[in-house]
Amino acid sequence: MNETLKAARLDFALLRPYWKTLCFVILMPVIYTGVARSLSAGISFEMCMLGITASYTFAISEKNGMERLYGVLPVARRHLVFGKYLLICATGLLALGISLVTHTAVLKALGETVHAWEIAVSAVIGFFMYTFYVVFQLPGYYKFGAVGGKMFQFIPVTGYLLTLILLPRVDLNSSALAAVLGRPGMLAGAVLLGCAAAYGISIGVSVRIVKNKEM
Amino acid sequence: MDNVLEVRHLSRSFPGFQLKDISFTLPKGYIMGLIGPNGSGKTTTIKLILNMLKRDGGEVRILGMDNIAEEKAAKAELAAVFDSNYFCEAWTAAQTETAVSGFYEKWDTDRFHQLLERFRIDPAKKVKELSRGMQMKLMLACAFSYGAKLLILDEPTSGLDPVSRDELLTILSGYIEDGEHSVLFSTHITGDLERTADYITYINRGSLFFTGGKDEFVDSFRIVKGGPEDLPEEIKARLIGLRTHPTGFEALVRTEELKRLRHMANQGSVKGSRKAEDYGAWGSGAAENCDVSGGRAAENRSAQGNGDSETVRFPAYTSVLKKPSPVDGWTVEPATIDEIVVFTSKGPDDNGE
Repeated sequence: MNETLKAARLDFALLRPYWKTLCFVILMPVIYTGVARSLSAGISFEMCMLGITASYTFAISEKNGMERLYGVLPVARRHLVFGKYLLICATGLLALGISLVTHTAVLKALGETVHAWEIAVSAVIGFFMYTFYVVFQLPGYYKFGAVGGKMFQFIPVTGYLLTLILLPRVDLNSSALAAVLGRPGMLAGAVLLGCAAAYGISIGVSVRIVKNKEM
Repeated sequence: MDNVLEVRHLSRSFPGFQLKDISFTLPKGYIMGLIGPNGSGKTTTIKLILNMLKRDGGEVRILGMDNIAEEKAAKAELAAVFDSNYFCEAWTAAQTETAVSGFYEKWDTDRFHQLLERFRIDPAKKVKELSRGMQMKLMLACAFSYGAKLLILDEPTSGLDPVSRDELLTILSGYIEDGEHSVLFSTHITGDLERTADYITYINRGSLFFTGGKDEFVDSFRIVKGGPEDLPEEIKARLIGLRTHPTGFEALVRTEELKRLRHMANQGSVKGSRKAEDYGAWGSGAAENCDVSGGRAAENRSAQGNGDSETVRFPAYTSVLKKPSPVDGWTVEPATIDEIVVFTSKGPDDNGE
C-alpha cells in the first residue's frame, strides 16, 4: 500500500471514533439552509463548519501523545503530511457532495426551486472556501499543534463572516462579474487550478515544518 | 559478535543541557539497561536513536543501517515502547491493529491476536479502559507482531505496580531467549536491571559514565562504610560519592581505587585526624592481607549469588600494627546498581545531610 494512503488510513482511524460528531457537523447546516432558503449560503456555512474540523486529527493525536507513535512508524514524515492532506481533502469533497444532495432536497421539500447552475456554483464556491480555510490552518497546526495553534480555528469563521459582509457589496450588474460568470467552465477551471496551487504551497510549507520539527 | 545497535559519539545541545559524546553498542540477543538519574539524558539518547530529535554530531546504526539515511528500513526492524500509551485512547485493541498494521510488511495478524490472548487483553476493549500495565502489553503485542529485532523501552516500568513490572520483565526475558532479539531498556528503577540486564550504559549529567557488562559495572565499585573519624581529607577527595551521618559515613569508591587507598595508607601518606606515626608501623603483611577490594570480594560475591549479604572487613592488622589506620575501620561491601547511581549522581561534595 502506498505510504500516503497508509498515513491517510491512520488519520482516518483517528477520526473514526468521532463519526457521530462529524455527521452532526455535516448535517447540522441543513437547518441554516432551510432558514436562509439559499443553497450557496448553506454550503458556505457547511464548509465553514467542516473547515473547523480540520484540527480534529491534530487535537486527537496531541491529546493522546501520538507524536511518539509517528516517530516510531517506518514512514517518511512527508508521507504523513501527504496522508493528512489527502484525508482532509477527501473528507471535504465527500461532505460537499453529501451537502449538495441533502441541502437541495431540503430546499425542494420547502418548495424552493433549485437550478442545476446553482448547484454547480455552490459546489465551486464550497470547494474554494473549504480549500481556503484548510490551506492556512494545517501549516499552523503542524507548527504550533492543535492547542497552541487554536487561533487558526478562527480562519473558517473569519472567512465566513467576511463572505457575509462582502458578498452583499458586490455589484451583481458589473460588466467584469458578468464576463466572469459568462464563462462558467473557465471560472470553475480557474478555481480548481487556484485550489490545487494553494494545496501545493500549503503541503510544501507543512512538509518543511514537519521535517524540521522535533518530537 | 553482531551488534544490533551502535551509537558513536552522539551529541546534542539544548539550552542548559548537553548530551556529550555518547558511545555504546548493544550486541544481538542481549538486554542493555540505559540508566541514569532524571534529566541525565536517557530519553534524549533514545529520541536521537529514533531520529525524533536532530543530533548535533555522532552516528547511530540500527542493525547496521544508518538511523537517518535508512530510517524507514531501520524503523521497520525496531519497536519502541514509552512510559505511557501512545495509541489513540478511543481505539479498541483491534482498531489499534487496523491503524498500525499497514505500516509493517511483516505484520502477523494471527500472532497479534495470540499475543492479546496471552496478555489477557480483550480486543474489543478500548485503550482508555485498559490499565497502565495492559496498555504497556498492548504496545508490546504490536511490537512483537511484526518481529521487531530491537525493542527500545523508555522507562516502561515507571508507574507500574510490582506485579505488572514483574510480568513485563518476564516478557522481556522471553523476548530475547532465541538470541535474535535485543532490548535497550531505559529506567531509573535499577532493581529491574539487576534481574534482566546483561549490559549497562550509564549516563550521568549528559555524559557517558560507563558502558559494558552489568557484572563488570557492579564489580567496578564498592561501598565503604566507616566511623566519623575514619575519613581523612586526602581520601575524601578520591571518593566518587559520599554520604555522611552522625555515626559515620558511606562512600562509593572504584574497586581499583581501594587498592590505591590501601597503598596510600601503607606509605603513611594518609593523614587524618590521627597522627602520622600511627600509620608508620603498617608493614607489608598488612598490605597483603588488605587485598580484599578486588579479587576476593568479587569471588565471594559471585560464590554467594547475589552478593548482597557479603561484607568484607579490612585486614587483621592487630598483630602487625600498633595503632590502626583510618581505612582499617572501614567495612567494604559490593555496591548495588542503585547505590552506584545514587552516589555518582550526587558527587563527592554532596553529603546528603
